[in-house]
Amino acid sequence: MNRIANILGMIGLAVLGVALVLFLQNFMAGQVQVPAQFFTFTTIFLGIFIEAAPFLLLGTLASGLVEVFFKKESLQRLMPRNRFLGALAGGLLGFVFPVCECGVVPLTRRLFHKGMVPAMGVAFLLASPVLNPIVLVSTYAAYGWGPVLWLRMGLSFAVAVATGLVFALEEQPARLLRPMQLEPIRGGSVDLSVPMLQPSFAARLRSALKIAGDEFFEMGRYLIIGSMMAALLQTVVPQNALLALGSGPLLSVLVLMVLAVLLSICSTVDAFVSLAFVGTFTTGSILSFLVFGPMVDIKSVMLYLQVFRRRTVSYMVLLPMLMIILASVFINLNLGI
Amino acid sequence: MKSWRKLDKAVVFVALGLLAAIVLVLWRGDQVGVVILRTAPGDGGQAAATAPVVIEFAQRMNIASVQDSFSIEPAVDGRFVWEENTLYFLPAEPFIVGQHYTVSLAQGAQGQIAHDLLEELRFSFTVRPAGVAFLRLARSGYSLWAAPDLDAEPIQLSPADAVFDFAVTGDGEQIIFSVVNEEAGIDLWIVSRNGAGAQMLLDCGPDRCYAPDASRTGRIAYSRVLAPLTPTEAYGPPRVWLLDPRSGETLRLHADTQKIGYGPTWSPDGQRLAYYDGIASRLVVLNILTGDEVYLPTLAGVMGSWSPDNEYMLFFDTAIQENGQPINHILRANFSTQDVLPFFDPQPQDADYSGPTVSPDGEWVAIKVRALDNLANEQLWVLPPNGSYAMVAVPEGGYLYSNYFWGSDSNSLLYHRLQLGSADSQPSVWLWERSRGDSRLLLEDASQPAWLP
Repeated sequence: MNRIANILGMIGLAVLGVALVLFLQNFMAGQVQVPAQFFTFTTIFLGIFIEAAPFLLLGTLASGLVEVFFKKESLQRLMPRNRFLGALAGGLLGFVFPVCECGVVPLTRRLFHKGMVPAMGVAFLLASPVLNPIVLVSTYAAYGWGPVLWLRMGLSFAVAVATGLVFALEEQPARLLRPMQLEPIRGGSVDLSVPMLQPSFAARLRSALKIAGDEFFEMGRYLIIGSMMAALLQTVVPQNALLALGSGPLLSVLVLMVLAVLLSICSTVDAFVSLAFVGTFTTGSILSFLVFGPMVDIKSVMLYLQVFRRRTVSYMVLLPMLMIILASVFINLNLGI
Repeated sequence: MKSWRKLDKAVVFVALGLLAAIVLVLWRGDQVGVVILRTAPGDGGQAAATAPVVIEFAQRMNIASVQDSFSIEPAVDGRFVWEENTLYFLPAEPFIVGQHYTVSLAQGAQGQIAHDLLEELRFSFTVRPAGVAFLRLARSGYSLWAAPDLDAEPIQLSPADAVFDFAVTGDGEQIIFSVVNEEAGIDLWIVSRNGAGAQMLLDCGPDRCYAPDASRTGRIAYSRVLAPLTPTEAYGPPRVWLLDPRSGETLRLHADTQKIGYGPTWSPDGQRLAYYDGIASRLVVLNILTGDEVYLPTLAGVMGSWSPDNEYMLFFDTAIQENGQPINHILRANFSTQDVLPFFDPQPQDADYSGPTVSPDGEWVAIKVRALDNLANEQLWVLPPNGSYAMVAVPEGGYLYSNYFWGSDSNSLLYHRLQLGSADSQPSVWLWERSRGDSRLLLEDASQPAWLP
């Protein structure tokens, strides 16, 4: 998998390079004989990647800082040991970290290393892309203090916690994670009685940045692959074809959920994008776009696969999807908003 | 497949439960239907003869379905205007005063995206007689007054005495008026027809906001003159601005600051806005939906009168005679054929004709006529739109006649009269009735009358 990812990552970088060269050539010469669809693809790809990369960087920075500055024991004291309480706490933790769906993955992986229970990790992973201060502000800017804002927050929290609660039933959390994410077993009979020297703050910061840098390039490959796939699908499946299907209490929800997956836009800006659907699509379907998109899209699934087993990821997609469909259809048919 | 663990079983169980719940919710179907946010006129209440019937939906609607489901008893011809999710039914002619009307929207009217109307919507109203709003000179300026009907005692509506001008909203429920403020600017205020709830609508500071006009669909346009940067500079030219009364948001009609104009007036259907461009000496008729503009050259600088079907506008232009004296003549601009023709054919040269005002039924036009040899001798004439014959409605000379408006029944003509040649003369408001053929005094010491439907 890693090797394939490396190859695909290299291809992605090559596409990025070619796109840049073509852009420059096009800019300077005025004309380049390249199919129009390729430019559509590169434009979409660059749009998704450039939008998401800073947030991935932010997440890896948070991950590096957590690794270096927070002792495992300290964090474990803060984290609930009860799996069910952990799911609840994971949802609430989303309010604290300003990371979107790209940045949350490396941070969650790091928190797993520090002893976070998977139920809490899953809830945090699903909740934090929506339940964070930046998304709160951007959704408020787009919709004001209205039902869309509150339902987005409430529904995201409920779905994340409910999914986390289901995962709390797993008695052996290690089965959820990919083997490489498991912490190596430490132990032995040698008691090191000589106290280790505490590195300086600057050294620890350098160490955190190094970890963040390594992790950024590691996860970045998958971001590139995910962005490429999203761009390809958007190029092949025109948005207008999907939007034309947008009526009806169920179909409108399904259409906007598919669109959310294809668009793969960051949760910090998706509220503004969704404004274009107001009046054309049901409120429930717009909520499904705003709740499901940050939890599951092509690039985030690619990143999830680096942390969790495939079966776990499929559950992490299936359960929120069904919950959000149920909630959105219910809103469409039972709430007059 | 590997052995089923507790988590796998739980996921399958939860997923099946969620699927069943989705099916159940779909099977129960629409429980709320189309939500209607507002209807007007209010159920069981009184309404103006010119009031639009308004139904505001919470979502986009299927226009054909809603219009097919709409009915009004007794039947009235009219047109539908949509502004986003709000339906306006604008009767072709005003409602009949005293008549009880019932509006219904049949069950099943379809929303555009999900819901249908689950229950029939029904509301009714009775058409009230019109009153008069006017200005009265007070100690420190004009104040705004209104008589809720022609026989009622007038009441003062404006809290202060510095009213500049005013306009009545299409539903007759409110009056927008401009008030000179302490910065020598002019603000816009709004008050209900009974004088309650007077409040500032737009604080213009040192700018001068005046000549408001409200469309029947609730849009407000006004003229605005920006204050000079320093007190020694002169005020600039006026421009037309728009105001959203709900949000208080205001913006220039044209982003291009070179486009100037004043006296904005909405067409009866609220889809076009006319104003006078004093630089180019022309009336500009702007289609709000398409942005298309029609120019009607005129030196008169006075707004024309819309026909009730929005098809044409009567206005007048000023020409200079051989003796150097100006003379006015009336023109008719047809928007469908895009031509401007003289109202009278052939154009009479014996008198000065100006100020055409079309009646709400489109059957009559009131104009002001002045003899060329004695311009102080004004008369008000009433004639059909083809100008084939004329009735001299107000023959008395020696008066200045202005602000004449047809009543909703197209029978009565409200006008302002001021005696010429007398420093002590008091302005007064009169009513001419076509059926009686004569005028009666309505209000003394009153200026700039307007119907308060």
